Amino acid sequence: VPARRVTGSASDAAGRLVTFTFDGHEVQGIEGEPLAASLLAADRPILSRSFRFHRPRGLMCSTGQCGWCECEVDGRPAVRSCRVPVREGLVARGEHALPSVDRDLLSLVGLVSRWIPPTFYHHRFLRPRRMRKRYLDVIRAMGGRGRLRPGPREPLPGRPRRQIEPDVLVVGGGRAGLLASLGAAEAGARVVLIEADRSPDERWRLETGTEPDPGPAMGGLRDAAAAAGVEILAGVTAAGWYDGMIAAIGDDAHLEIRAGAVVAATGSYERVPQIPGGDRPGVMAARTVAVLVERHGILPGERALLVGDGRELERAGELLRRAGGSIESGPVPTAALVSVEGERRVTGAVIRDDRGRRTVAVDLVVFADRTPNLDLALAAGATVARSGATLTPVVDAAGRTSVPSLFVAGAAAGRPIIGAAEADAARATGRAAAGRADPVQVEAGQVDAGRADAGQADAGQADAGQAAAEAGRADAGQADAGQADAGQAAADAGPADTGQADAGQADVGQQTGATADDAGQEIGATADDAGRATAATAAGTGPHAAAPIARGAIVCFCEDVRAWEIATERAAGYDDPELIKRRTGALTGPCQGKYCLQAFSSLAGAPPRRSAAPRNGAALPTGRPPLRPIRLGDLVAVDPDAGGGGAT
Amino acid sequence: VTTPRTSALLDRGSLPRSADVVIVGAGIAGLSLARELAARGVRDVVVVERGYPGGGATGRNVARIRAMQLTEELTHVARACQAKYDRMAEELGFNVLFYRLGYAWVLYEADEVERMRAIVEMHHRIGVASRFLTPDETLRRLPILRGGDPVAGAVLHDDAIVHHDAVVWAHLEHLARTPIRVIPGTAVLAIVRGDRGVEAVETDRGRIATRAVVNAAGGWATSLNTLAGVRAPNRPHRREVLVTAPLRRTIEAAVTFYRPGEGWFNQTLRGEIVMGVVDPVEPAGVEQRSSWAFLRRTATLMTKKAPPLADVAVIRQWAGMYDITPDHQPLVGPTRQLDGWWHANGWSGRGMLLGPYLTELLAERFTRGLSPAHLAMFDPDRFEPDEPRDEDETDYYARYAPRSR
Repeated sequence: VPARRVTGSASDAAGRLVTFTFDGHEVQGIEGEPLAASLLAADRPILSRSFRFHRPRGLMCSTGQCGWCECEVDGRPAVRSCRVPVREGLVARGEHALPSVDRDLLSLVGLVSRWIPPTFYHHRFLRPRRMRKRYLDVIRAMGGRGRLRPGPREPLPGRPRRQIEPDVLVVGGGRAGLLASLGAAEAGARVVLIEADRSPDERWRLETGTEPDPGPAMGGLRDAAAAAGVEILAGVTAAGWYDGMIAAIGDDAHLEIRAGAVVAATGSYERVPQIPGGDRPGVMAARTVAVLVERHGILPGERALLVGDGRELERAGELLRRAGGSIESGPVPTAALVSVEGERRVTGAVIRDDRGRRTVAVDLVVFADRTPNLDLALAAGATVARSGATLTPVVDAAGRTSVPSLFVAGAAAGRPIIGAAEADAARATGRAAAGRADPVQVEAGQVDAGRADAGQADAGQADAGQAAAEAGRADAGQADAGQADAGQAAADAGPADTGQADAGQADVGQQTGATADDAGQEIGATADDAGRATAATAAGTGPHAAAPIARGAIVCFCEDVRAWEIATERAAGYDDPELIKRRTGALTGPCQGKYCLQAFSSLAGAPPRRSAAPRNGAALPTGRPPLRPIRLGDLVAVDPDAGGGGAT
Repeated sequence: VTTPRTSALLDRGSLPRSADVVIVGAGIAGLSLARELAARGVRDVVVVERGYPGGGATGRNVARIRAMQLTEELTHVARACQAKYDRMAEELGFNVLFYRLGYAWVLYEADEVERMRAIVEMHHRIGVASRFLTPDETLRRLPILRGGDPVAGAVLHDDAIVHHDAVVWAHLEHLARTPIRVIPGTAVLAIVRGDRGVEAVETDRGRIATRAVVNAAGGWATSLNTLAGVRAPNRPHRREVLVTAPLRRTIEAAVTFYRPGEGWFNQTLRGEIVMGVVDPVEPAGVEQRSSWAFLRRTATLMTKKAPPLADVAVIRQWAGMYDITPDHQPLVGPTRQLDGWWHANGWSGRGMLLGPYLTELLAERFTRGLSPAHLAMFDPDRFEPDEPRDEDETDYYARYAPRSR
């Protein structure tokens, strides 16, 4: 059953009908709604094909991060269509398919995919030489995704460099970011908040709608922050952490922000169900469902299965029902979902419960499991630790990480703003950030301090938060005032402190290794020292049931890397995360590891004792900037540096 | 793979107490030398690596295997180097994806054209079929340059790229079928010297007694020389790279240009475009962190040369090191300064290209004591100690194609 527009919804009346084309077909949409949403409503759920096996992919995250909705739009390749407002005459094309993403002959390769490991190419056509060249020509023809339109372009204006040095920079303008900025401003700091969304009001409205009210509504929070003197810069995207300097891209400038403290309030990413079929069009984040139904009046499926728990999922269920859809099953725990059925879109799901295994006929699978956004923490070299199966930055009660100038608030710290306690904690993080001494020269040494902090694990120190605080103290730039404030902040945070203890303490320093369970269906991660097997579980940022990673599940969606492939490389002797990354391609695709690093870390296991991998506690290779894909056109500078400098 | 393994892919066991040869660095130089020594019956060899194999410049370059060079001597050598790569898949039983993509020096200024015409004549004299392209021919071969800065011509040759990581894996898997051990996660702390030269390598995991140490440490070669009390003029300099999301086959040659400023781009077999614009004033030092300035610099210049690139998104950037000598040629061979100290470093950005072939010659030198002719120009003792480098580091031609030759 195709998605359909809900008659009588608010958006039904509001928008003007426009016509655009997709793969040469005329499609109608409502002006201004996301291209991906228009296509879904027009019964075109397949928006792209995956790189290796040409698996169909559709709208999933709706935040421009997962990349499953990438299309060519008006001649530009790889545009994330969930972020493109549709308009009259727009020309969109599916990429990387023959003849079209809807019916892609190249997806036949999926039939033999089990015999095609990522290193397949290196064991074929060694000779004769002439064949080798032909073979590589074929590989080359199969590769690539989008087309680059040749020919001249409009001259690019280029952006000047704008350097700013606030006391506190808050990255992310969701609830946690606003609260943190408010806390910092109240403590007397000069605060800048950057938010990638051009019109965050929209997002604020949605967030207010999908979560129980933890205090003032988003609009109120924004007004309060602005009144307290926070400079809110919307439409500014953080591009990278360059040794403490945050580079960001705005409409008319490249910002180079050297702040005394940075608060990462960057939220979370979806944890896609780690089961066969978890990437089928029709498997959608609860937030996406909410946006589609509530904002755009589009019902993405008639019969839904809800997976997981939490307020977001409940809200998505309510909206679906209200729009005339039915909840066929669920909510079921994440661990109960065995597989998703359907070749080109979801037609059913297999679930496992007390009554055994059964198949439910559904056309929509809605999940709410999420993992903290670790981008800035990893870029900065902050220590992260496993809590359950989820890597979370190691922070003290005030959100202080092992890198003295980096704080983390909200869902990015594993503390989504669910109630007053979390809201208070985010605010306290802002205050603690303000308490850091005046802007300091951020030196390489700080990264080392962060690294050294990993030593806490060896020392067997129980309270990771304390260790992080000590790392802060060790920093020369750290004034006593900061300490006092941190203490204060911890006291303020109160109830949040208890929850924090889990994240920090849990498994810091635990040596985990992954072993392939060839016989079984699932891959578990085993604890080296204890020798006791624990499943690589998938707890979210909330209290989610643990779900094992299925052996055949795709864990890296950009490169179609399956769980067993990571285990195979490890078993073959490529036992360092840096090598596993290169062997499999996991973490190297256009999503930049955002959607696979949690699973990768579970499956790759801890680096061997003497690995050169960064000691970030995560079994993850060195993070590489930028934080998001950036078009070269947006990087063009009117005043490029001759020198790299960059390390500063 | 039919031959059984005789050593682990990566040896994480205890350190041997002694070895005939200790190679420091499991990059292209160290791994290929180990292979060549094994082939000549030298089996008691260990390769110690501070991080993971290929973790330095070997895993960070873009693996262009170019036979045409700016000087005659180097073109002779580079041609042999390229041929060795062309054989590598058969020899090692591992497809390293050697692919003749084509290589173009794209020229923007009249004096470049004049200079390059002479170089093309040299190529033809020694049998390298490079071709001079007119501006029109250049744009036909490389439509991506249309609408960009006006080109003055190009020099094209049928040169190749390989998959740099695959080269590492091919060597690791080959070495696993020999007794040679590759030992990662082991940092050298000191070199023990005696009256007769090198006596041992002290690592953070213990001591290995040996009479022969090969410095194949890439960007860390200078530090290692210092530990041994050996003076050599090479210094590491950071070079940065960015890679874009994959695109369909678009760019039919690996492009390099030198004016204004040095930059390059090419498309991999998977379709990503790798590129970089060199920082002419990059200071010396061990540095592998990425910079923001690099992104701005590269985007600004590249979109001037190849306007369509403005539409492509960069998804990742990284940095590695060129270990640069005053004449931009590597140091390959023993040194008179210390018995038992062998150089395989100073690659000056050409380690991928030159490594496999020159370490083959080095292994000949090591096992038979003869110095192959091609090795003479890479004699590590060819410099005065602490020889100052060229003043004009910013002009490529001044560095690589001095008029005096």
